[in-house]
Amino acid sequence: MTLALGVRAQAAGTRLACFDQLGSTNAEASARARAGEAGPIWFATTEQTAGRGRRQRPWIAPRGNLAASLLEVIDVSPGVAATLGFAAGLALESALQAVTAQYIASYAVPLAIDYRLKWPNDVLANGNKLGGILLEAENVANGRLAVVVGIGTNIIAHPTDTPYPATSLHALGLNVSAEQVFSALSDSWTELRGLWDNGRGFAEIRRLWLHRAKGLGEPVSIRSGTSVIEGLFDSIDEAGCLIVRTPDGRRIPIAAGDVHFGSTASAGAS
Amino acid sequence: MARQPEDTPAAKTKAADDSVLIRELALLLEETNLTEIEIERSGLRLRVARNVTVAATMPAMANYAPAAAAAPAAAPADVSKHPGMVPSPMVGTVYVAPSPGAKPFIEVGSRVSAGDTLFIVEAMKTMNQIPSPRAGTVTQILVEDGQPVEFGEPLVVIE
Repeated sequence: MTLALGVRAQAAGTRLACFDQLGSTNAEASARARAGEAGPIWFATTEQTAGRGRRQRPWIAPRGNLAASLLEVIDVSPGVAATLGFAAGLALESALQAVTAQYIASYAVPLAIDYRLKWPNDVLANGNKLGGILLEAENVANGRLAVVVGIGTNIIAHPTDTPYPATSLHALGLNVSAEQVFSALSDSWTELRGLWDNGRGFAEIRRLWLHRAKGLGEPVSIRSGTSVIEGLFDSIDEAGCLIVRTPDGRRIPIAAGDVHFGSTASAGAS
Repeated sequence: MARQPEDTPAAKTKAADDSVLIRELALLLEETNLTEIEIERSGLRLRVARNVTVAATMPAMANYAPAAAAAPAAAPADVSKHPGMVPSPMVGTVYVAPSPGAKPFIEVGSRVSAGDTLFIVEAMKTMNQIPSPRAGTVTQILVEDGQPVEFGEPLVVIE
């Protein structure tokens, strides 16, 4: 099988550049943006050899896993572009739901997988990390913004040495391929990207996202740089920031950081 | 998904328009640092305000990030009016290097060209490269690695 777009993505005019093997789909997309590519176009591979996550942490993806980056040059401010990640998380979750339902229907297997979104846009399956999303944005010609939405999904394998528990679709008992997931993802992306509508639809994206959020109302701690903030995960605001309610009653918006649920939450919050 | 009485195409369009307007005002509020905006047009009166307690994030954050608090204090008070000042285009966390421990994009004295990356500002796991708006020499760096920044907050001076 080879990677191919779903029917809705094709109908929307989205293009695909697929690679047998690639260092990093995000790096490829960024390089193409600098060379004048405006998208929307996916860069996808089932073997990413130099993938990276937040702050250049390595993202391990052996052959059979999916790495896909969507490039689009758009006219929005960086603050608005940052909310696109929530649409991306929803798109991946939606694609996984579709593939899972299809698999269960085809093979009549009793699988129960609980997919959740972890702020800002990780996808968890039964509490373990299944997919990660990293967006990169930079200015290109005419003051426009090139946005790259990188989505990594553990299909056949997952790392075991990460600070959080990870899983893969195969480990969950779902013997599907990266090709099946990508096709569904390209379609659900087309839908959610349309709903996001350059940020005008973020209120609806936010509503959908909160419905699938991991840990709402639960103790949370966020490490950002050298600081750690602890409290309860209250909500996300209109800019996508995570709102932490601290034990002394303040509501603090967080724009970036590593999120841990139910860990060393302070006594006052528990 | 019950159908509401006001769920007509016209009502939906109007509701959508209103929600776009409210969203624009909310963004404007954020960008200008005002606490309240009120407008009136064609029979519609809208007031968008924000809780000042929430707006007071930075002092609260400073308690958690003593290293970050020192940097802006050291800068001259009028640096925001400096013609060479480059502001943050968004709320987020600023990084001075592509990865922890790597060589910073710029240092005081660095010569930069227009478009060169000065920093990365992260928000919601979106990494935004902040390009230099002009060619020149970096004379002041006003932020520390990992520091939270507000929209419009001075990052650097390039002369």
